[in-house]
Amino acid sequence: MMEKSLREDRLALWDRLIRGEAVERAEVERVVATLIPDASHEERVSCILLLAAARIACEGSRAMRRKLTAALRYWFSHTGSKNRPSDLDICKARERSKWRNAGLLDFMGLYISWPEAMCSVGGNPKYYTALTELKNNLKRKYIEEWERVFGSQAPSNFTHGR
Amino acid sequence: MLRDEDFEAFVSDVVAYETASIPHNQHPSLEVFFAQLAGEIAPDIQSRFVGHLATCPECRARLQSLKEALHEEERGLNEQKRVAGFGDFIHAHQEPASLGARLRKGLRDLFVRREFRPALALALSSVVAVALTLAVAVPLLRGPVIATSARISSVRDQVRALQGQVSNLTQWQSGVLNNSTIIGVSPEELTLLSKDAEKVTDPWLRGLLIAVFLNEHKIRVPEGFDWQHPKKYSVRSGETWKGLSFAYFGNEELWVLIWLLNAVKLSPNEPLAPGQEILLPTPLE
Repeated sequence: MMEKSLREDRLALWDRLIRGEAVERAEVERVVATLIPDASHEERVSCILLLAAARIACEGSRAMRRKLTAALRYWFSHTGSKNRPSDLDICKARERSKWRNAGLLDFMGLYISWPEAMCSVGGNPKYYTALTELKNNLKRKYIEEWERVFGSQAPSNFTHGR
Repeated sequence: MLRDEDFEAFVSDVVAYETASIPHNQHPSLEVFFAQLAGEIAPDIQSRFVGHLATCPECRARLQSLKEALHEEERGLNEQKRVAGFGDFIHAHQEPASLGARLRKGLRDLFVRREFRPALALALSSVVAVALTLAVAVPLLRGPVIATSARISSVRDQVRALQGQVSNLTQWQSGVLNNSTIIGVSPEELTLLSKDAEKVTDPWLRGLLIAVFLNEHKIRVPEGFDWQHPKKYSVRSGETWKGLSFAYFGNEELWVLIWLLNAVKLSPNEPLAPGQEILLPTPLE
């Protein structure tokens, strides 16, 4: 029950990151602070990844923040039942503005490509290395945050013991 | 150690975990959905709403269907606005003044507000939805249908979906639609409505016309009946529109609704004859 509620709290924060809004580090820290001592491995990993993403949103350059927003849109769009309109064209110039502030619910189930994710944030759709740059940055912050919060080496698997 | 090449799969696992479905006992009210669609949702409610919907496929589907219905409504209305035929139509049919003026006023409110206030538009559409059932049924019964069957089918689906959605709105609507305060409808008014409705070929606009009429008379379409698949009924000796309405709905003033289902063949001024076949809404199981 507790985990369910925490997950919904985190999703609200993910939503704001997907919208390209800044999330104060303190807000995520509050979520981390609610982790009970015997919280599951998945809960811990999810919290710390959110913390890492929030750090980029707060401290990253404008370009890196945009990459973060695009990456989150890309990843979260690949969740839920596929529900992609046949005429969806995010990269069409006229359509771009309406995606600027789109949130989690707008993207779930759309299964967008990386170029589409970049278009949605007004970026260059051919900038493929942006995803790699973002991943490297996010991974680095994830490892740092894990070590800071738990004082141990960051796990390499999401599911404990897999 | 987390390898670079594994990190994307790692993030995907986290994202899948975060958005995995949760069985919910409670769901957001329809008003919250409207507020979300209108972009007028309070930040704290928005957070809870997103958290809930991201983990509730049922509510996501509901939001999607409302979005599509709203989009379709707005598109239809915008198209009609460009044509401007309906405004002219109402303007040209001001006689008798009372009915024409009321319709004009009601429709002006609907049109102006709908364009700028999606939530209100959708809420209003819930009032309209019940009338749309009749409006769709009537042209189907009339034989030649000017609007395309696809359009009608689309409207019917919306009506069906919206009827389910709006059942929660009964309380919200009660001030508007309360069958205890029905303003009686005269056969003359119905004849006029029928003539006016015949001239409106678009089922949606016909729905608006009938909705405004019913709304003005504070007539609420009773729940528990399938209006789109009416059944045939053979009139027995001594039965009247009002008598049937009382027997069927417990309120004789709702005879208007039964008559609307039969508006093709019968005049509201004519008494029912024994053996005559009419249509009645089918009670839902």
